[in-house]
Amino acid sequence: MNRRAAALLAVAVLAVALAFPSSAGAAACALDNPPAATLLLPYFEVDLGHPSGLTTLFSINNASATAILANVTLWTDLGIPTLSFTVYLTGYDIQTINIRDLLAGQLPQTATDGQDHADTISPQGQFSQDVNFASCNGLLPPQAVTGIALADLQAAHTGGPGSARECLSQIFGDGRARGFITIDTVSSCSTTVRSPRDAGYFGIGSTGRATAQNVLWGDFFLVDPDNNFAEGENLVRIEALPGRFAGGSLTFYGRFVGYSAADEREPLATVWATRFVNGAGFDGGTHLVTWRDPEGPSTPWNCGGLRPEPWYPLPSEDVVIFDEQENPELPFVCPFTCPPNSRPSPFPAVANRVTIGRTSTGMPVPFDFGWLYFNLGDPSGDTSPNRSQAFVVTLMSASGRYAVGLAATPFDTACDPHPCPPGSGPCPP
Amino acid sequence: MPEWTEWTERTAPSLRLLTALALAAGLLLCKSPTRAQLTAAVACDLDPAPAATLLLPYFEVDLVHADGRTTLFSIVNAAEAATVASVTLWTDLGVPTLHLNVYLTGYDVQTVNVRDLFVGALPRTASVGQDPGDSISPHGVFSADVNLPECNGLLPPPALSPTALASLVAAHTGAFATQIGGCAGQAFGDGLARGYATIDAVRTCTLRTPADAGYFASGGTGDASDANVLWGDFMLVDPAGNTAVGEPLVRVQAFPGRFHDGDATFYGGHIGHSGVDDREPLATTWATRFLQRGPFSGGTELLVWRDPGRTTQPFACSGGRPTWYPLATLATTFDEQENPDVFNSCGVTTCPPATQPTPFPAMANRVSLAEVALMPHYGVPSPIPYDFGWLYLLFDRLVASEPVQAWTAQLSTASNRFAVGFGATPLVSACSPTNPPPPGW
Repeated sequence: MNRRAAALLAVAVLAVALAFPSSAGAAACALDNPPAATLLLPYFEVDLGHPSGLTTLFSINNASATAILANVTLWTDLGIPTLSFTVYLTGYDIQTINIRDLLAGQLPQTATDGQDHADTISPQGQFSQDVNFASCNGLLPPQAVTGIALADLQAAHTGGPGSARECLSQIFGDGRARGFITIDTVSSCSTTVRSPRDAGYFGIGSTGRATAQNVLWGDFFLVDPDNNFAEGENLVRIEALPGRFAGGSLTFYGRFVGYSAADEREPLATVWATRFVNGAGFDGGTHLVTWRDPEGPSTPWNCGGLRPEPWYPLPSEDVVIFDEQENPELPFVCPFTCPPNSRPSPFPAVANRVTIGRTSTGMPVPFDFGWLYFNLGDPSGDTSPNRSQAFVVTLMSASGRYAVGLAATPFDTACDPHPCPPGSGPCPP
Repeated sequence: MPEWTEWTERTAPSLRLLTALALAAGLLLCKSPTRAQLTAAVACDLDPAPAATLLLPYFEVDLVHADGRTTLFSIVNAAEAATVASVTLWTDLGVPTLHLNVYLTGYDVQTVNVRDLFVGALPRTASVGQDPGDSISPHGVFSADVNLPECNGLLPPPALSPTALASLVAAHTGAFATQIGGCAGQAFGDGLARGYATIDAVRTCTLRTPADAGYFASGGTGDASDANVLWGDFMLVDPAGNTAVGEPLVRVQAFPGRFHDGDATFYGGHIGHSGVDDREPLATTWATRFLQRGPFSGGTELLVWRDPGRTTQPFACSGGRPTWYPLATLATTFDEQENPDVFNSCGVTTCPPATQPTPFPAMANRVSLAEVALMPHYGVPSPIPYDFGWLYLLFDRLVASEPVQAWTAQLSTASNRFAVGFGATPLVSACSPTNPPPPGW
C-alpha cells in the first residue's frame, strides 16, 4: 500500500468511525435498516430437482473500512443448524452467495491476510483494511462439503432422513430445500463454537465469539426463472446494543443464551400487518414469508416418530382479516375458551412461505383484497420475557409475468409488545 | 385440527357477538389515538412503523400508452378511529400540483392508481355527513365512521375541470402548465408523467398543502396531525416490460416536542426549519448495491428522492430552473473487490467543480446506472466502470456544502423477465450533526 493509499485508508476508517455512532441505528427495537451485527435471511428455497429452477441469492456487505469476519449459519425451517462457515470481508467488501451453491457443497472462498499472502482469494481496494486472523489458519478458505455430509445437508433441508435416519425439517415432498440463515459478526474462526446455538458463541460484554460490530448489510432475492418471478428485500438488520438489554429481556438469540441478553441483539416485532391481493394486476396472488422465534429448542428426531418439539406447530393469535371496506373476519374466535391445540396454525414452523387466498390450504381468506392483522407472539398472553418475535415479508405476483416483495408493517416491537387487536376494546396504555 | 375455513364458518355466530361487544366496548371506549401509540416508532431511525406522513418517493405514468407504465399505491389506516389523509402530488422538482383529501374509516384501506389521477378520476371517499347512506365510504363493525363538517364540498372530491386536468398533465411532463403559470417539472419528452406524493394525517379536510402556511403548527395543531396511524405500499408496474417492483411507502413519523427551531425535519424546507411539523427527517448518506450483468441483465436503476431544503417556485419554460437545481451528490463506487472509483480520478488534487456530474439532479429521480455519469474521469463525466459492486452516496444541496435528507431504492431487472426493488441502506441520519464524506473524498 502506498503512502497516499494509506492516508486515504486512514481517512476512510476515521470517517466510518465518525459516521456509524450517529447513524440511523442507535435506538433499540426500531426494526430500522442500518448496518447491523446480525443479518437474518428469513426464508430461503432452492429447487434441488431443477438446476435452473427456483433459488435464493443473498449478499453480505461490510459497511466499514475495517476487515471483519462474518459467521454464516444455515438452519432448517424448524430451526436446526446444519451448516456454519466463516466469511472474511475486507473493508467495504461484498460477498454474494447463491444458496444453490451451498447446497452443492461449494462454500464462498475467502481468506484473511495470513491465509492469502498474495491477495488472490480476498483482494481489496485502497480504502479497505486487510488483516490476519490467525484462528482462521486451516479453516479459510473453507473446504467443499462432499460425500455423506453433503447428502445429509440436502436431506436436512428437504425433510428427508439423513445418514443417521433423523429428520430436521418439515416434509413437503417437492424436492425443494427450505430454511433460513443468520449472519453474525464474529471475532475469530472456530471449529468448536460454530453456530449461535453453541455455548461460548455469545458472552456478556461481547466476550464470546460474536461481536457487537454493527457493520453488516445486505439483501436477498428469491428468483424463479421458470415463472419469470423474482422478489428482493433487504436482509433483516438486527443491531447489537451493548448495555441496552438486561437479563430477562427478550433478545434476538434469547432462547440460546437463557434470556441472559448476552447476545445484546435487539428482538423483532410480535404484531404485524400486511395487505393481500388476489386478482386484478396480481392474479398470481399473495404469499407471506414469515420467520418466527420458536422460543424452545429444536432437535433432530427419528423420521419414523413424532416431532419432539413441544412448540410445533407455532400458533397464531388475534388474526383479523379485513376486506377493503373494513369488514372483518376473525377466524380464530372460540365461543368461550378454545380447546387445546384447536387453533389453526398457518405459520407453524420457524421459516414459512404460505399462500393467502380463498382456496389456500395454508391460510384461506374470504376476500380477494384486503389486509391482515396478526399477532405472532406468545398465545398465552405472557408479555415477558419469553415473548415470541417474528418478521414478515409479503410477496405478490402476476402469473408468469412479475412479482413484488416487500416487508410487512410491524405494529409493535418485542421490546414492548402491545397486542391490541381490532375489536378488542380499550388498548392498554 | 379443523381447517381454517371450517373455524371461520363455525364461529360466525360468535363473531356477531364479538362484533356487538366491540361496538359497545371497543369503539365507544377506546379512543383511537391511543392505538397510534402502539407503534414502534423511534425518532430518526426510518423504521417501518405506521406514521403521520407517508412518502411515495417517485411515480411515473405513461400517458401515451394506456396499458403502459403506471404506479399504484395504497393508504391504510392502522387505527380504529376515522382519519383524513391529505394527499399531495408534487412534480419531480417539488411544485405541488394536486391536493385531495381521502377520508379513511377505522382500519380503512384506499388503493390508488396514479394513472387514474391524471385522467381526473379521484378516489371517492366521504365522511358520514357527506355519505349518510354509507354508500361511498362503507365501513366494518370495528371501524369508526364520523362526520367531518369541514369536508362538506370537498368530499367526495369534485371533478377536475378540463383546464385543471390539462395543467396537471403539463406540470408533470415538463410542459407549460396554465394554472401554474409556468413550468414545474423536468421535460424528458417521453410521455411519462413523473413526480412524487406525500400523504399526511390531517385533523380534518383541508384545502391547504404542506407548502401552505397554517398546514403545520406546533404540536400538531395545524391542519396536519401528529397521529402515527398511516401505512401503505407502492408498486411501479411495467406491463409491457413484464416487471413490477414494490416497496412500503416511506414512513415519516411525528414526534411532538422532539424537534426544535433549526433542527432538520421532513418538511423543514416549507416551514423555515422551525421544527413545527414534528416529523423526523430521512437520511443523508446511503449505501446500495448494483448489478449490471448476470441474471439481472437489465441492469440497476436507482430511485432517489431528495430534499433541496427550500420551496420550489414555477419557472420559465425556456431556460428556467429552480434556484437549487441541480442537486449535488458525493459518491464513491466500489466493485466487488472493493476497488474504489472516486471523484478526483482526473489525477490531480482537485477537479474543476464544473466537471462534477449531478446524476440525481431533481427531487424525484429514476436513474439507470448504466447511463448516468457518477464520476469524472480525466475531467470527463463517465459511467460506473464496474458491472457489480456498491455505491456510497452522500446527498448534498451543493457539492460538499449542505447535506440534505434523501431516500433511495435499488431496482434491478432482467430484461422483460423479472425485477426486484427494495430500499437502500441508510448510513447517516439527517438528525446527525456530522455527515462524513464518502471514502476517498
